Amino acid sequence: MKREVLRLENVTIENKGIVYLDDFSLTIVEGEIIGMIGTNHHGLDELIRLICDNISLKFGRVYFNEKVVNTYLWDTRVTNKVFLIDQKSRLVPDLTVSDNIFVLRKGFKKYVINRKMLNQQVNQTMQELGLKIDPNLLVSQLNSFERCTVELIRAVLTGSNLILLREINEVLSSSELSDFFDMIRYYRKQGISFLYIANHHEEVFQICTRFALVEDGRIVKFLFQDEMNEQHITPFVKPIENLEKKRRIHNSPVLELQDIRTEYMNGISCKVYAGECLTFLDCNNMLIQDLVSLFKSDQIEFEGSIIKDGKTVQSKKDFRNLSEDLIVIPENPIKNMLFSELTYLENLSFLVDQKIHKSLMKRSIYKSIEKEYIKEIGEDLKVSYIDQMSPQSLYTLIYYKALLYNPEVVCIVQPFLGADMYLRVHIAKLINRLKQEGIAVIILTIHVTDVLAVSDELYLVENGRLSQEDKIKENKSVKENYYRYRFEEKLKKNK
Amino acid sequence: MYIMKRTYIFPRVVRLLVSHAVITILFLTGLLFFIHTEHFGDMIVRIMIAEHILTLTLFYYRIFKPVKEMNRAFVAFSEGYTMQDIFNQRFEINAEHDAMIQRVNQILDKTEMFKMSKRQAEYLALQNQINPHFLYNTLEGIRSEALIGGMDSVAEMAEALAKFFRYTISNLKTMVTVEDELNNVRNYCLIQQYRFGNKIQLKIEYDDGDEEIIRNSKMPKLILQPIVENSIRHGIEPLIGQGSIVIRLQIVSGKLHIFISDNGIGMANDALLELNQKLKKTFPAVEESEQSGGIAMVNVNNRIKLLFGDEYGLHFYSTPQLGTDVEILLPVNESKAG
Repeated sequence: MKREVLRLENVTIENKGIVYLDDFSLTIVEGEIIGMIGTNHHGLDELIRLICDNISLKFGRVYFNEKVVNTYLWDTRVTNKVFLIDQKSRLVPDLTVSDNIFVLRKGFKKYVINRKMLNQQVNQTMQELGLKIDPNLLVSQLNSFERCTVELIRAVLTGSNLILLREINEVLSSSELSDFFDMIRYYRKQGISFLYIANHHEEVFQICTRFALVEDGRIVKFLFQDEMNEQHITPFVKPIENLEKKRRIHNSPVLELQDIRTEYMNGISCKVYAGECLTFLDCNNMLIQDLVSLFKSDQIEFEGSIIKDGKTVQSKKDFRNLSEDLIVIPENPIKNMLFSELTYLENLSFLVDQKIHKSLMKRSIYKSIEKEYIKEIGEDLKVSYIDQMSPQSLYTLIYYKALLYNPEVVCIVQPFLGADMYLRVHIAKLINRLKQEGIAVIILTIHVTDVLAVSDELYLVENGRLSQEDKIKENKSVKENYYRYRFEEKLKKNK
Repeated sequence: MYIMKRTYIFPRVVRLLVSHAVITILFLTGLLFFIHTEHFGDMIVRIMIAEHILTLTLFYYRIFKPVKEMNRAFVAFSEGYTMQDIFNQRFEINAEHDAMIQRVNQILDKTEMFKMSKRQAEYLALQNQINPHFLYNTLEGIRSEALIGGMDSVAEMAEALAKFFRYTISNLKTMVTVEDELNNVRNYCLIQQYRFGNKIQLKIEYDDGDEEIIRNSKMPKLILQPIVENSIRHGIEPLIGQGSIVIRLQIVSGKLHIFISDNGIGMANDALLELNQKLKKTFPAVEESEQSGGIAMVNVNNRIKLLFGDEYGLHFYSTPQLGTDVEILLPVNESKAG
């Protein structure tokens, strides 16, 4: 008989009239990996807080290790022995790996720390997992994969029998994710349970033993192992349809990279055409930083040549021109590209002053912009405080900001990062809008999911080098087959 | 179960008020004596303020919070969300109130027993009306004739129908094994297959390693068949194409989880919310259920909740055009079994 680790019984969470979880029932069994995706993110934060910290309920009960830990009748304020691993590190950056794993945990009461012994234990665990992470390394020196691994080991060694994973696929590349899944499978066999919340069912299906689809704080569908396939999930997901592709108008590229070599790039060459989208799928999560630095004309040493409009970019002036004609939309652009103290219209017009070389813009320019975009953006354009706006409206603002600036090339870093199903569809439409205006788009991503719908060309980069045979031409069926092949291959391997 | 030793609030109120009154009187008396003494007068006032703060703190934690907790249970009970919580509270007003609550519990149990016996009587009345032996003999006769006439399918159908009636009418046990319930579902689907052909496919899956325990576990009679019937009538019958029903059974920590999934036409979101809302409650108005449909599901859910408690019962998941899943939660081999 299997043992129950967590049971949520008819849980309803309401705050200020908003229902976050509605009659939510879920049982997690020992050694089970529950995959969960939300068509929207509503209620998922509250679900995590409920499982970790037993927040107040309107109705229902929570059982952890077969004991009631939270009920609507009284507030317990007890924290459960559950670990959360997500995009944000919960480790102390200035301490070593072994200190983070052992010294900071509850119940560690030794006054004299035997570092040799701690390191030995870390090494032993690493060996079991087939990894090599120096226990004396500072956490700040770890990459995302190593950080997630250390958090996982810490959770296991602390004795937690339920680990929550939230959108870790957003910080791990495909190959890293595959390795991380191997570790999860290893610990699953030891009876540890996982709840993996992600944005894409493709990733979740590879690892989970049961799957739950959540919408508006309610579970709408459970899928069992034999049902975890495209046929069963397709009716529930909102796909990004392959958007209409235009024929190549210009034969000469707006931007060309020829044999670019940096610390992490090893002979990258590509041509970007107006109104087309080129995607770099970075399998090892190495390339993105260097390419962004190159496009932003930051101080980066490189070999090879950048050709813009048929001319090699050499002088400082050329680089300045390049940075004026190319804008980068970074990861999490809501945080990194918008100013909460400015109005929607001011945010929208923010880059225009650079283009017209005026630090103060006339009121008439604002009026003209408002007149031009009110039809497409709508009443959002008149909003004074953008803080309370929906992510959808803010993404519209970001992409229309780029559209208004009208550069020749827009480089987007991980455009679908952290976006729910509806937002992803919206972002895809916004990218297509850029293409329709004849702007060339370069997408830098570590995951293939979603980008295929907007890409005209896909370059697979492994260890900083282009995989020539995997360069995918503009062909719908080739793309789909390629994608399915990769997905099914992974599934086969995992089963 | 989380039943704890009950604590009475009224004695706490009395203790707190008396001690507060006594302390206040003592200090006020002291203040009268030392009112002209600067040092002592100040000290007494400070101590009195501290005592008031302490009393308020004690009042909040030892009286206000328990009353709030009780109130939550009363609200949940009055709205029909729970049957058990007001009888299993950690706090009560006083011993007399507790006795009254327990008495209400007993009355409710008796009312329910009365209802159950009434239902039992209805079964018996139905049984007498039908005269099952006559019915079985007739069905056996049809079966023999069909076999002689080479009509195997008619013979099989008559046999399935006889088995179905024997289980539904003649078997008067309230608790049966899961195996019996599943056999009845198989039999019911076989009868339906004569109507729908191969349109209905039934699949039963047990969790690895627990098949034997699951089969021999006890559960209330006629829980699965009404749900499967509902799936066929409202889900698969209007469906164009192949219909399938999958029953998955799993035991987790002494609880039997049964998932019945169909690929029928599903339910509209509003109907689903309404049904789940009814299923959360133990006593929905019967008239209301009869008018708005879903009475079979509500009755099945009520039976489970009344037999085993609020934590057990049914829950529906459904998407229009994509099918419906019903999750049934039951205890395994409870002492009430048999």
